[in-house]
Amino acid sequence: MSITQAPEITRLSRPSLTCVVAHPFGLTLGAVGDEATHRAVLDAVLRTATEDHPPGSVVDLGFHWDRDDLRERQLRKER
Amino acid sequence: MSEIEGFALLERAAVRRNVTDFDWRRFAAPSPRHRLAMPLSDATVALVSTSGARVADQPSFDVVSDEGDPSYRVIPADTAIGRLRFNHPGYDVRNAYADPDCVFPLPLLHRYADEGRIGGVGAHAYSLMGYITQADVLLEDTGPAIAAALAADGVDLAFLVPA
Repeated sequence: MSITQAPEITRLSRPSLTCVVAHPFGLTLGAVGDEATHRAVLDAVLRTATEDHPPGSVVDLGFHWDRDDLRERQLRKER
Repeated sequence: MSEIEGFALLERAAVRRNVTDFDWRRFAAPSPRHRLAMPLSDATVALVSTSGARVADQPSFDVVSDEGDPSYRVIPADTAIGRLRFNHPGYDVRNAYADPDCVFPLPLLHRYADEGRIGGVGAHAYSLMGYITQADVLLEDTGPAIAAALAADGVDLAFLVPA
């Protein structure tokens, strides 16, 4: 199973089971030193792996990024 | 053919500046699902990453080629954090050096194994650099090779973490 930060691309390739984590590229599990969020993401992914989901499911785990505008700039292809 | 929008459209346009015929590979049917058939506390979990991680004595990924780099590195799971290196043109690798768990959570998986949350960590992690425009190489060579290696490692759950 996989994480995606770009579900619109994931939906084209249709992997078996994907978890959406809306964090910036390079900070997939969370910010530097934020072990609580790293663990929350991993817990949610592992839990999802044990659940019934049809093939091709893209499950939004509800993680968002509100520390700064890094993710928004990345999605606009700005540096 | 699926319509694309938003980031997928912008990213495709960016890649096409270097690889003029690039397009996203589309699949009509999803990959089959194999639900984990055992408790997590018994499962061997392996990390597959597109963070561009490698061990210090392994070759760097090619981060300057217009076509990207479809190769992969096999990282022994007991590699010391200080021997990890990261090469990737698409994110700030300084964060990965400061805290690999941000994008290459091998240390975190080891802590989960120590705590009994998972049964164990796969003997190897498998690492790619996420900028890959050669989908055929990925689908026909790199992907099957990694899948075979994961099976040989006795992995129950592969955890793919993009950068």
